[in-house]
Amino acid sequence: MPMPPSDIKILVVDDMSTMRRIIRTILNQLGYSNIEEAENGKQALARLQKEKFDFVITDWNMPEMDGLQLVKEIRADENLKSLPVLMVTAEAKKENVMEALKAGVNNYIVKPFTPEVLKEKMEKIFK
Amino acid sequence: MLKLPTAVIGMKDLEAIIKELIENVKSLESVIEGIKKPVSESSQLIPETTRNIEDVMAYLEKESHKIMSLLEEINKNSEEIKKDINFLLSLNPVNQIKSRLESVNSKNEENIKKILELYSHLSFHDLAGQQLKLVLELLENIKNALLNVIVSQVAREKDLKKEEISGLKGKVSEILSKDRVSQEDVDALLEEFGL
Repeated sequence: MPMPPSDIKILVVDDMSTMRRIIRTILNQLGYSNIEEAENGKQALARLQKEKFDFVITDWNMPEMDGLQLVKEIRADENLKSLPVLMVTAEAKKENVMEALKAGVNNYIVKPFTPEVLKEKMEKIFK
Repeated sequence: MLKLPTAVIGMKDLEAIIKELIENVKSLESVIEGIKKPVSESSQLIPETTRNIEDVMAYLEKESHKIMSLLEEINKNSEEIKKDINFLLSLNPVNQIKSRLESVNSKNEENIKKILELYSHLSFHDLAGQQLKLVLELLENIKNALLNVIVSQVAREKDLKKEEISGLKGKVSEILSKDRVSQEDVDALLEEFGL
């Protein structure tokens, strides 16, 4: 039986505070209320290694550690490798999508996105 | 271009060659002088432009948060309206009132959806920010290139010794190794170069 949205603990990773707030608000509207934030991949990885999360939404371009590297680190970590990751980014080239998929993302959203698209991708991942 | 005579040259010929050489050096000096000013001006202007772009990015972020706070308030109000309408509908009003309440309810739902759409449109700030970051990177590269041009120019102009040139280069590379070169660093360097 799938988990109710309110039980799913999500980590939103983006260096732009406005983007984190946008994603958090849309997730709240979709019923997801257990949301934490990180400003870059490095910060995110440190939190993931300390706390249990059910899902990660990450941007690509960030300082310190970008989203692609974060996905690679997650997939290389024995405890985190099965964690679902959704990439939300402005990188819209075909090769970018391919690179992200190769690194191990579960799905990919191009900014700007609609709440419906986020909802659809979340449902696909948690089906 | 100066052609060196292959045959034996007389005193007068030599004088003419030296004169031409001096004129060439003079014209080259004026070219260097012409370059020196724009190079120095540009290296001052770039950090200023960088700061302006950073200010624009910070302003965009601040204003986006303000818009989001207002949207959150509108959203809260809409949620309250939704609760009140549902309460009124639960009282089984007469059909005329019921249909009006249902219509208000559906318009309110539409508004909530539109507020959410507005949220996602606010990601324009993030997209614009990423493009501006590219411009900042480009400006940083130009600034670094300009500083290198200045070092080479000053080294040539002041006829610096090898050790002095490597000292200058060391100082410039120390400054350039920082993530972002500050205006103070640039000014200190320019002052040292007499620019």
